[in-house]
Amino acid sequence: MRRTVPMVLTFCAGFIMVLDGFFNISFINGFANRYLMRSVTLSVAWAAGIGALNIVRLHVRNITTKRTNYQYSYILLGFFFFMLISGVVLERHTTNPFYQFVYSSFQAQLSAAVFSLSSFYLASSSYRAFRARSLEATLLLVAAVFVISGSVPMGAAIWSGFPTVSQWLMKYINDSTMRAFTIGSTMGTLSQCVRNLVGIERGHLRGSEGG
Amino acid sequence: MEKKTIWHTMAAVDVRFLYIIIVIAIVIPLLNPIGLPLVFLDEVIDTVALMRSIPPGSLVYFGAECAAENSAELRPPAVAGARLMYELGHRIIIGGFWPDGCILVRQWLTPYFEEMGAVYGEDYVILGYRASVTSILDTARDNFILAFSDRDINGDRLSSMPVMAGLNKASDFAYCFVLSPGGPGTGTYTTAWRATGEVDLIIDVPTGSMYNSAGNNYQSGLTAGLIGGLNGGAQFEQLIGHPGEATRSMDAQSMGHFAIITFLVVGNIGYFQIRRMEEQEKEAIKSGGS
Amino acid sequence: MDTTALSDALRPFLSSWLRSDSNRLSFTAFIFFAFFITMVIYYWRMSLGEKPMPKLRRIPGLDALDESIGRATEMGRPIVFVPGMSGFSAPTYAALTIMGYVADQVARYDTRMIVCYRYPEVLAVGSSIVQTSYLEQGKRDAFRADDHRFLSSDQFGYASGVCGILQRERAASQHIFGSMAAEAIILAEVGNVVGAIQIAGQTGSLQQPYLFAACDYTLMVEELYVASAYLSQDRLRIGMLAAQDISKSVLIILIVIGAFLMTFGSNFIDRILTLY
Repeated sequence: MRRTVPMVLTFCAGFIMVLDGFFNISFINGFANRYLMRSVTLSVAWAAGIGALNIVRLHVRNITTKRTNYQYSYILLGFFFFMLISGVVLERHTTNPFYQFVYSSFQAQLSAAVFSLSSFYLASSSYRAFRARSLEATLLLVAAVFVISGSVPMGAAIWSGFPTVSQWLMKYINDSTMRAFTIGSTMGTLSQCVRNLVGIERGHLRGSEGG
Repeated sequence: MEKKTIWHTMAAVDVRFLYIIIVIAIVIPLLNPIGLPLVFLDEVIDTVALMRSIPPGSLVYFGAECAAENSAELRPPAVAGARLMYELGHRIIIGGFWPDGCILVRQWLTPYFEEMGAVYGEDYVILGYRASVTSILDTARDNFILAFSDRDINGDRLSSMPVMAGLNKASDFAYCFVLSPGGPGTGTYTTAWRATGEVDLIIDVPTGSMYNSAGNNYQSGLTAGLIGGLNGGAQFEQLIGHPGEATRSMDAQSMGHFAIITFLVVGNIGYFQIRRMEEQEKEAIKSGGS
Repeated sequence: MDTTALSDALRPFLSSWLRSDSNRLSFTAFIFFAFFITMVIYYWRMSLGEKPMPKLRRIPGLDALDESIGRATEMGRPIVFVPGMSGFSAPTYAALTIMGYVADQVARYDTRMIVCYRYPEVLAVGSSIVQTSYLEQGKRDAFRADDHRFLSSDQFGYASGVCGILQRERAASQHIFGSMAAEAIILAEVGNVVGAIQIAGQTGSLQQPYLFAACDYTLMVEELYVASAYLSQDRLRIGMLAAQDISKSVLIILIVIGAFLMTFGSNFIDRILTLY
């Protein structure tokens, strides 16, 4: 029962969406648009509460049991409730200037800072990983040098051919490979979805199924 | 005992040393610009030509799909795009399905709109964030105002705004200009509006990491324009005659790229030197043993 | 060959029941989908019989799962599992399947696994999967709910959280499966810094280069979807993969023939594919 009901629901909902995707059946099209797709939004919104509870529970437990670095849990919970209450209580909620100020001073800057770390990590991973160990690795290295050089003005200043070679590599080698990836990924997604739909894949319903 | 050479030291270098080199390489050109000339790609030139070919008074959808971390790459082309749209007399409808998108774009564009004399509600409007991208874009195919609940980001009625005159459904847009750092992004609009024939012209403005796959869509004709990454943004700024942030950042990007190339070259030289020394040691051991 | 007459003949019949699109690919998509389902049914019936199923090639990344679990067990340090950055999508289901397998092993060997979620709905399902594994091993009390953590819906808030866990817990292994975005390089590099063995698998093309550079083993695109069949060696799942590969082969043949004909000035394949 615990597995059968979700499987039946999955099959019914998925089958309706497949019909909606291919066929002009007004009842199906209307039902899919008006109810099924919006039910996804509703269930996701409801699930947001689960995430909040999980965070609160974990950090309250950190504090009460005085786990390592429990002091940071105070800070996290403080900011969590501050933003939650501000967003609900303030006039115009999340478009309130004070809320916007806190958001753009903390959240936005921190996100941008962490994203910026990726450039440093890229440099260190390139230094470590790009070794001409084999013919393929050497070709990859040479292509990388051309693409990196050709995508900035300094490359063109050193040699006018860099941008041309870079564009050729991106247009003919990279784009065709990306298309192959897309085709493979789409086929895999299709297969995975059909497996979920007909109940062959039940790993998400019960932990030990599927190896 | 294995002899430690400079190549062994470099192979085992602390990564923080590399980070310091990257920081120096990026900061110096920001403080002392070099002013290297840009190479203009056909795709950016064609995109500007496309925008210029759209008559004044046309409705344009500006997809504010972005977050704070994408500001560095997407703010310059967003500002340049909005400038050009206003200068060409296009009516700009800014909407988005990323929670921060419309708020950020409002922060970016408001100073420039005020400077140019654009009037909110007459020349541009910001619709605000909406959840459920698929159902809203589908509904917008038949009734745009209904899809966005007849409310803008401030809660005011869209149907009372002059900028919305003549906008009944998605097909009334001359083109879409979509910032695209991920999903929902250009792909979402392509599926919802381009594939169904509502909007024929979609201009893709991806970040550098999305540029890889954006080229596919542009080559196959799914998108009509492409302004990719900070480099594309810099070219866009220059082509519309308003060099800005992206142009100023290109020198720093150049130096950063060349720092990485230096790492690749030096790393490989070190790798081959170490391999050569190890082979010589093996030979020495073999000949010594025999 | 003139396909216009064929297209004109088909249009009235198809327009009454089949959706259309501006690329005129809806009929082709429908035929392809029907072909795929036919192959699925064929291999489904084959899996019920005794005929040998097609063999799967070796996938080093999936073979390394046991190695990484063993390493974590020996070192007494946890595994950090990242089930992707998207909500319930096909890559997430594939990641949860692998997580189920890993959960079985960690429950058996009493290894700690910390799972970091970006979406709370995935947390609800994921923690249930792992808890079931512990129940099946008769180790109900060994399950730690606090090791299933919703970190943040914000992309880089989530990445920061995972990096913090990797560094504080000194993870021995990191498994990154599912749909990833720009934070992939950050997670992979931090995993490298702490000395974790890293296995990654994601289905999009954009983050593959970063994961290849930074991880010990990488599953490429479809290999993530193969996991359930590969790990279980179940006949039915292998049959589904075979159906997928046959369908892909048809696409490849069409691409090759179409490219060849187009080179010599004929867009016959294009016209056949865009009948309606």
